[in-house]
Amino acid sequence: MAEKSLEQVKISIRVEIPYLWTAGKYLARLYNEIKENERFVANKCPKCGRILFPPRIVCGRCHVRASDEWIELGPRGTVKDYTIVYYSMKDPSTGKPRPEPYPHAVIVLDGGGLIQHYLEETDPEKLRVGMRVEPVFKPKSERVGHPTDIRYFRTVEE
Amino acid sequence: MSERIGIVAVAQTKYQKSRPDVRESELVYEVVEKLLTETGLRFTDDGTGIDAAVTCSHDHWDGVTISSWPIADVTGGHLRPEEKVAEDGIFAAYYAFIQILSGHYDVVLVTAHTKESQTSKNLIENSSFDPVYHQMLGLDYTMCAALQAKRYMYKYGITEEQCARVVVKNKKNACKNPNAQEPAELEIGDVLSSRPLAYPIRYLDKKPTSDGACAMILAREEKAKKLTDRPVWIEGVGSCYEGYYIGDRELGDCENLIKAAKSAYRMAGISDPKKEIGVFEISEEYSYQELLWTEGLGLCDKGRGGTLIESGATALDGEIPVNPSGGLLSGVPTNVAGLSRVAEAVIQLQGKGGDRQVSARKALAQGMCGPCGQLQCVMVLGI
Repeated sequence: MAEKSLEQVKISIRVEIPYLWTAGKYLARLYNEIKENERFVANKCPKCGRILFPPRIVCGRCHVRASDEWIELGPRGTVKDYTIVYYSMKDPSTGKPRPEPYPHAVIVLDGGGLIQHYLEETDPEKLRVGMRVEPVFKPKSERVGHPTDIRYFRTVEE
Repeated sequence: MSERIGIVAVAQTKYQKSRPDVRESELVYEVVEKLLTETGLRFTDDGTGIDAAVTCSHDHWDGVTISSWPIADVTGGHLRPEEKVAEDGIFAAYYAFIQILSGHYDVVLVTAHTKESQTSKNLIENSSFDPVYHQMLGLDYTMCAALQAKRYMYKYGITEEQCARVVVKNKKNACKNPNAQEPAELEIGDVLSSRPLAYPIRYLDKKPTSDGACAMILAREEKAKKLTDRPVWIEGVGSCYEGYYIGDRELGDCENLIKAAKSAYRMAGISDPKKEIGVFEISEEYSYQELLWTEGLGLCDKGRGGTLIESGATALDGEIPVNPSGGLLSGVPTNVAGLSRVAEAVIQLQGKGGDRQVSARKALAQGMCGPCGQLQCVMVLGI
């Protein structure tokens, strides 16, 4: 008997799970500084002296508790590495897609510490490793205490 | 086994309903730092310290895939071996045990953590069910546990009062455990009058929401003896899985736990667990589970778990104390649950149980994962 091919069955469901994370005391300090003072702060490894940014409890290389000494970094920095993203990616904090293309960069903050963020400049001809940038913060009334309080880093001529 | 593997130190946080003051790495470092201080060990690459880490956490619970990366710094995972299991912490201990048995490492750190307070237990559990069949029915583990409890009661005449006795016993034991989250002096009536969740399970029949972490260090015999004068040896381990669909299982019995226990007993050379093992720390997320699991572990015949607790044998001062720590019903997070059972067994065998100390030279820890104890693991420990 010839078997009739079965219709494929597809199930579409949306999984929504709410989370309420806590930042812990180290990240909370950075986030408060971003929100209140447009400043970046880091802690340090007491053994190797490495700057821990974002700040954290332990230096993963030396396996020792970070010191209680806090330092300020930036706000300006230098682009160490970058890419240009040509597809739209949902921003999990807003649920909205980010307009593409946009550069995503690794920036060495003045004084040390790496931050990953967006660049304002989208022209590939004008992007280069070593370019100097500074953060553009949202107005204080819109800041919530999070890296998204920074819109992007813009090019500065020095 | 040619050479024994020992647990040399254990640490637990105090279990609490919510720990908004710490993120996962800070929570886990509370227990890791205790172990480093107690043992003097450091993370090293030259065979003189901790060689590797096995961690237990869950992507869905933590809301991040590869949930071990945020704790890599504190578990020594930076440019070093770190592996994660996502079922229950007892399987992390099992994995570390096997790593050392294989000859690959001498000293391994094991951790488990979960902050249940940061999301919804019901939704996380729901996402473990078949997405094209059961998930859209809104199932969670409490509903499945209720089905198992009802089947167990129907099949063997187990009563709600007998289940309530587990809550009363364990929360009373928890009064003697400084790490316990919700110790209480209750009457059976308090349990039976707590609000219903899913018949026949009531609010007090279920483990409360909990945040916390547990960690321990396992070492090869020669090193274990140098690290502590009271090593606790892992003498036997066994695990057994069950069918994915609840309908495929006979919920009134726990054949998988029976098989896991048999396997652990064979390895440990145990023929009569009730006589040979002095203390049991087991995973009762719901009150009926302690009764059913005592049957599965061979402490009584099938259907006699209710009579066993009524006899007083499983009380703190009974012949075979079950959950002197206060068990999971007193509040221990999922994933941490089984590892904390191992930790409590070690505490008993090291004589560090304080007011909850019982007399034992062998102990049993049991962990599980999945609805109605779908995956079971049994570990026999001794001194």
